[in-house]
Amino acid sequence: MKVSITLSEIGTNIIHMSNSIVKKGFLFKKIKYNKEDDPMPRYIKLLKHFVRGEEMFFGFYRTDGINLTNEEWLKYDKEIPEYFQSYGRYELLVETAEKKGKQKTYSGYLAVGSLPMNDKTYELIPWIFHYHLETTLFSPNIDWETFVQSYRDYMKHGASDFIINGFTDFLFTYADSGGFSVEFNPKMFDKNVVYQEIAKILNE
Amino acid sequence: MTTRISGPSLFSADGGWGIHIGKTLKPRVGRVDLFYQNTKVNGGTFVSFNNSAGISKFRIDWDPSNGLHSHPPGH
Repeated sequence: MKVSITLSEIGTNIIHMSNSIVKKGFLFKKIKYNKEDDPMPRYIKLLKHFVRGEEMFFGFYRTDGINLTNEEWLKYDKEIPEYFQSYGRYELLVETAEKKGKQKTYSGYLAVGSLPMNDKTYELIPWIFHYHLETTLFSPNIDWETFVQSYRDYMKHGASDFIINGFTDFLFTYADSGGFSVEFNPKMFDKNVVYQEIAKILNE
Repeated sequence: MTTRISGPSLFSADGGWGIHIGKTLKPRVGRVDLFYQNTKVNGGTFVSFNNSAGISKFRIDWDPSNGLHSHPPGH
């Protein structure tokens, strides 16, 4: 598995991993999810290792589904919101923005949720990842309302803002149809220690 | 405080939400979606072709980590 560690320009550490199959093309690379050597079980192991606390907050941006069959898509299109609503919280966010002097509504792009972290939730997480284009999840240091208010400003915030603004000390992001990242406060976690722990879990 | 590293301005169509052509079962997914931002990877999508259910079937993205790349169907 390709694993890279970077210090972001704004002072957080990011460890990014991907097990995608990359092929060179004429104009651009082709990146395909590696179903033969599925990285998802290892991502779940990492979550179980690093998650602290009983509840996680989730932020979603757009739907994806490129790694799902039509049947899987229809199943989880229904089951994911139902699961959040049954065991935690779930809100589809509706945004308004001024455009050419008029208020325009944007709905269906952003959603937020919270769940207790237990075996049933961990079983669903791979499907949550495949269903959404971007999933951000973390053990919160903030209350629900603050998170929802902040997530509404999706276009203004990168993942690092969650760390810099003190929402969490350790953030997980699944994006780009196969890329999993952990981002953390370098003042609280030693990047070499975190990297070694990740490498150990990935190679188990 | 906003600290996001901006991606190319190309991915700022309609405030970053992108342009939709055609309709699918998902209210904010067109049959073709163009030029939207993906802030968590500091990049964006040039074009996503989606089926009638709203599933992405082929996508061309850019981000600093992978550069210009495509995502063919994965199943």
